[in-house]
Amino acid sequence: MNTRSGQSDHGIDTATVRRVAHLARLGLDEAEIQRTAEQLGTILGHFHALQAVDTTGVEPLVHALGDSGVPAADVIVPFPQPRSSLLALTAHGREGFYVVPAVLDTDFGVDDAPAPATSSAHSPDEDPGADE
Amino acid sequence: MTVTPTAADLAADVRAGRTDPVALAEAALTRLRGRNPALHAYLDEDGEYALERARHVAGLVREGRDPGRLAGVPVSIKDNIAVTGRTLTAGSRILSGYRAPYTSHAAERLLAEGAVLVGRTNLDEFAMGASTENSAYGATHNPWDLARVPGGSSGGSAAAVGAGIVPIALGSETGGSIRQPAALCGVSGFKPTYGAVSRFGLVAFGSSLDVIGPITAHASDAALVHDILAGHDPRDSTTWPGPRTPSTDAPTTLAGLRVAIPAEFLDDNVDGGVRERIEEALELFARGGAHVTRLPHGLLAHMSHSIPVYYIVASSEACSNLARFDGIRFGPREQGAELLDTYERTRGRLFGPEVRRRIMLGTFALSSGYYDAWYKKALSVRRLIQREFEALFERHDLLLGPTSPFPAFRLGERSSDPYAMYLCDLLTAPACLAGLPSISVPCGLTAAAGAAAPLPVGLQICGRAGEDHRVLAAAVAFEAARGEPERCPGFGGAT
Repeated sequence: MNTRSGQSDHGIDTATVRRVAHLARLGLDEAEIQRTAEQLGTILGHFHALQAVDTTGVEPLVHALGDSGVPAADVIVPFPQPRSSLLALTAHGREGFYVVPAVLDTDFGVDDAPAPATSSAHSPDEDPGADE
Repeated sequence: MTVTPTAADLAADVRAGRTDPVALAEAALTRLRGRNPALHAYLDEDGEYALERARHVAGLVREGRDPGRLAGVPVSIKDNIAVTGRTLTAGSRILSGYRAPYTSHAAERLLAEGAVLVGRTNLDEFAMGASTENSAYGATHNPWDLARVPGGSSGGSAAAVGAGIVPIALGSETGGSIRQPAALCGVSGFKPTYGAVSRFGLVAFGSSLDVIGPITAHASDAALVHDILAGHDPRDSTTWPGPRTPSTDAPTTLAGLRVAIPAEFLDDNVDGGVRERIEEALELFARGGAHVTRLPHGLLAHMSHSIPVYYIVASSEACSNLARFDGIRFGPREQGAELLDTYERTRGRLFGPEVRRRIMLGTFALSSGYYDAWYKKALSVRRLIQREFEALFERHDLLLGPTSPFPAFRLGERSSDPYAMYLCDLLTAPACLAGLPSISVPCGLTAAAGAAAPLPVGLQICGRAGEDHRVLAAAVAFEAARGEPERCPGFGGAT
């Protein structure tokens, strides 16, 4: 295993780890990026024998029921409790919504940007089945 | 002759008015409080909730109404199966303080039969592990030897039953998480056929593999609980809509069963003492009238790939399922300057090392350029594994083997080497990949280096998909032929 270059014995380099961590939305520090490259390389090294199995013409088995699963009825089932019961599970609920850091710039470049929604415009608890 | 009463016995006494369910609940809580400081099998005890339920059951009996097949029986539930208002940490800091807003199908069924829920059991974080050492809240200890692991990921449930705190606990299994801890703690653990029991209310890990099943002090109680849990649930579209055979209708005899032991289940990875107990179990099947066949190497040729296939498939599904834990809608949040930063901080800091490792492995296997080589390849080999099992079941009713290659190992012995821990699933992952029903039943004790006393060994009995009843009936017959399983020191005691 060559850890100095960040390349493990199965070709997982630190750049790959950074890319995968970003895809997975996992914040890893430099030490863990290095360690993950080594560990994934070692694990995939143990798994390498899989590559030698002849699977020509073998259909992947996505789950054990094969194709016999029964689709659920495509109907909306309202959640039986008020929305406030779910918002009570976070410390970041306010006025019927989840509060998150800003995603968009607040300056829309126009003077008459729409005002944010408030609970006075809509009371979520009156609509327990509504999507957020 | 049964020494320890079965859950069915306890329920019969409650239904007949001979036993007060409140006294049963209080006794279970006393055992829990006495044993848990050493075991750390429970994350939450549910004391008042349990007593309230027990009083409800007592009221039904007084009114002449039948509380159900688990009337007053103390039951514990793994902390990844939802019960309204109770904790649902999944063993993770990312769900610390979270309380379930609804009740799982499995818990609904138990409550409808009069069960009294007395605690939330510890687990490896998001059920990822084979020792319960990956719990963010600390490891569970094996009641047979406190210096050893109880197995995992349902280690809290297995330790609770193994210590005699409760006769029944629920577990979940993705690659061996019911059967392996049951084997290491000297109790029965049943993994149903994929799709037999609804996962509604189970914190999802690997959706093509996840099942819910019982861990019990007696095999007959595993059959009883499975009969209660199984059946169609429109909230889980993988559950079968058709009729099923109740386990209690299957003949509980070894006579006439066509059982086989594949050579792959007794290869060099299996500890010598474990092998001896399995050989004795085979003799017992033969003496009971079963036709026992030893299968040569090669009939399960692809089973040797079960570990890579399992870890690639389960991790790929996990990285998708765990995407919902982002610090926004539930649990604590590690606030960043931007939304993406908040996601990455929360997930990076609040998921534990093994969960992060599996999310990375799964995301890698699904990522562009690696998908065909790893994920699709694993799924193709998975089909080959399933085909080999199907071929064996054309000529045999049941397959036998050890549940775990070795008895309980020391805390810390495998935790520094992820791959060494993955090998704990060597003999259980195949049935998960193929979706087959399989039970672990106690089959004796074996000495282990450094252990203060002999440790339990589990016999695995695996059947055809959909024949859960046959597997459970064989386990009941085996336990009847062998007698009451050995119990750990202090079993059922309050200290």
